[in-house]
Amino acid sequence: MFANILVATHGTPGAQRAEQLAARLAGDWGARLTVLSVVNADWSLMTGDDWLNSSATRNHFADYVEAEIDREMRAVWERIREQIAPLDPAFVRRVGPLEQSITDAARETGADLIVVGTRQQRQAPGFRARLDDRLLHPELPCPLLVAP
Amino acid sequence: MAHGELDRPGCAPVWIVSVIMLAYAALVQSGAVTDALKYLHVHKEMDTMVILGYVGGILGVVTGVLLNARRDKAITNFDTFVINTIPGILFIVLLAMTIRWFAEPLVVIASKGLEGAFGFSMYKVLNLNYVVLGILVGIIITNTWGIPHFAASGVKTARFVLKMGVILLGARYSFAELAKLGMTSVWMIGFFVLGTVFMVLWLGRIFNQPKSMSGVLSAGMGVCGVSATVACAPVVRARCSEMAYTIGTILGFGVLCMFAFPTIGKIVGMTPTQFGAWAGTGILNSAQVAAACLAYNAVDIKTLKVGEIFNITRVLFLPVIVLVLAMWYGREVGQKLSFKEVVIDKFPLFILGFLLLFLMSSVGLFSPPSHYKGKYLDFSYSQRTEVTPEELEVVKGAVAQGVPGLHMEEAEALSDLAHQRQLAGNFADKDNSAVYDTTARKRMDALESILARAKGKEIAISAELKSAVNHAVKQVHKKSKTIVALTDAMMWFFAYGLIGLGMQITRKAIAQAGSWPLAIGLISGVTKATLSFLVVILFVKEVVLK
Repeated sequence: MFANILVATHGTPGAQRAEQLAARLAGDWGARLTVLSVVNADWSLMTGDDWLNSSATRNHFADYVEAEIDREMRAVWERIREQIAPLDPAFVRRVGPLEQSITDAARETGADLIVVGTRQQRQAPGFRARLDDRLLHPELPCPLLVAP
Repeated sequence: MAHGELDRPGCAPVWIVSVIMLAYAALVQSGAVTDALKYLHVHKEMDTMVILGYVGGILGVVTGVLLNARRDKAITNFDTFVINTIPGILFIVLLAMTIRWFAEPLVVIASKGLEGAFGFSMYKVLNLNYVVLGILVGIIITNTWGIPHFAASGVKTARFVLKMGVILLGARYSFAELAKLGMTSVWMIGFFVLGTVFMVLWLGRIFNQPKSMSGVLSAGMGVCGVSATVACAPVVRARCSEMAYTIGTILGFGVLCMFAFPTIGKIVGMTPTQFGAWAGTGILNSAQVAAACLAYNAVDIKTLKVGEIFNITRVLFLPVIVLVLAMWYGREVGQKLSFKEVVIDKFPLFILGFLLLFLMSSVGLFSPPSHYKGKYLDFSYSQRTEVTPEELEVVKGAVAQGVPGLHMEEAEALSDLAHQRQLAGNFADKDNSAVYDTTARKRMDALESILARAKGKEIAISAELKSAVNHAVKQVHKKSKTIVALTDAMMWFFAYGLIGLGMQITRKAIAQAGSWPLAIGLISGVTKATLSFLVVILFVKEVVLK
């Protein structure tokens, strides 16, 4: 039915359900599966009101955060790769606002279905940012499936 | 993430800012808005308005021309560090001018008008002076429309300008003050910084938090907020979520403290020394210490001087805490860091600038011997030479009720103090320095006469009125014109820096606070603020400040 599925995940329990649903659908339909991870652009705001450190220390912090995000993202990808090895998914990484990153990635990969997790009542540990439906829906280039 | 390149800002906003500044300077110079400025009670700073307006406007025009000329050329270091930053610098200067000369006076007028309806003065309770308003405007801009693209590069200069403000402050300390305050601050900061660090580490164990979480939170809550988090996170190998929790907690708690501390300090009647010591110890972020001290008293810089000494002492503890955490964390994971990485790289170099200015001032480089301690009188208009808002109320009350036994010249001088808020000549004579100074000196003699007669029990005045008059007289005793110029520049640097800093405080960053780190942060932060309050009230006495 769908030939090219994009699943957006940051590895939280809700997102893992989206991964599983997307993998099952890709398996059933023989669709190509792309796993998208978004680095939240708001990390650039997190040095906050630091004014004491030198630019060297601030850059060191920025490098460290980038490395940490990269490490956490690779761990998520590794887990997915092991879980759905036969599907041989592609992995995409983007930096920016969540909604914009998902729709841009869907266009670039030619996705005909986007799968995301549901809004969880209690957010999992990590950077606190949730998809805003009002920003996402008008930009969608293809159907959106929300994994229960 | 923080390495993002900023491309060239647009020309149109620079032209708009320049035209506004030039037009404003021309309007003020022409005298067309003098009545409005008198109504707002900022007419005494008309000279500064004209100079800032023209300088900013011309700089903006030159920048606009350069931006246009270099539109299609490759971006060089000159573009990145000079041309691209000027639009943002002018944007903040324009905001600072608007806030200082329009927003603050209007808030005062509105606050007085609404006093009857609310039953209290919002201006006084929330300390809504230009410093607090500047930070609020910065926070509002960044969380609503966002920092305009053309200003993004310039806003980053706020950090540098704040450091410049602290460096200039170095010229205002005497050896005696620095020795006395320095010793008190070392003891208090040492106790509370180390105490908070160990308390957070202990609470982290109680709440079963990972060592990396406790480590990064302890630095932030103990030393200097986000700055310490930025310095310590790589050392304790904090995870992304842990850094986010810590920064969110610190930012949220810090903003609350910045507003709560001055209000509490005024309610309990803290002296400048006590409040500076409390803010310098209890508030997490170093810039928020400066903001709270200026919110407490932006008229003279007594409170700021005390707060900054405590703040600088705390900043000096940063490398020590990084070292302690590196040893504490490294022992477990086998991580080794060099002395350079831990201590030398984290040493705040701008403190050397502060010490240099202090030494230059101490050897008399800015103050010729004849200008020392009151031999030089400065009657020029400046917010710095005004009495505090509280003192002004006392003087106005005394004038309204009348002080029995005052001679005519004394009563007139007191009335003029209530009218002008400072000991000065007449506004109409400001361009004729001989007449202006003669009037001011007569008023000073009259005010000193009130003090002398009150001391000799010839007349009876309240202790508050005596203190207010004494302060007004003291405010015109200055060391030298250079020091006065440095102080005025410093106040602008702080106003500028704090607006820019407000623009770094985002709702999204504060929203990261949560879970156990928030609980631990609140427990340790409130404990530190409460205990340091008690210690200050009980043990810190007033220090004579000049």
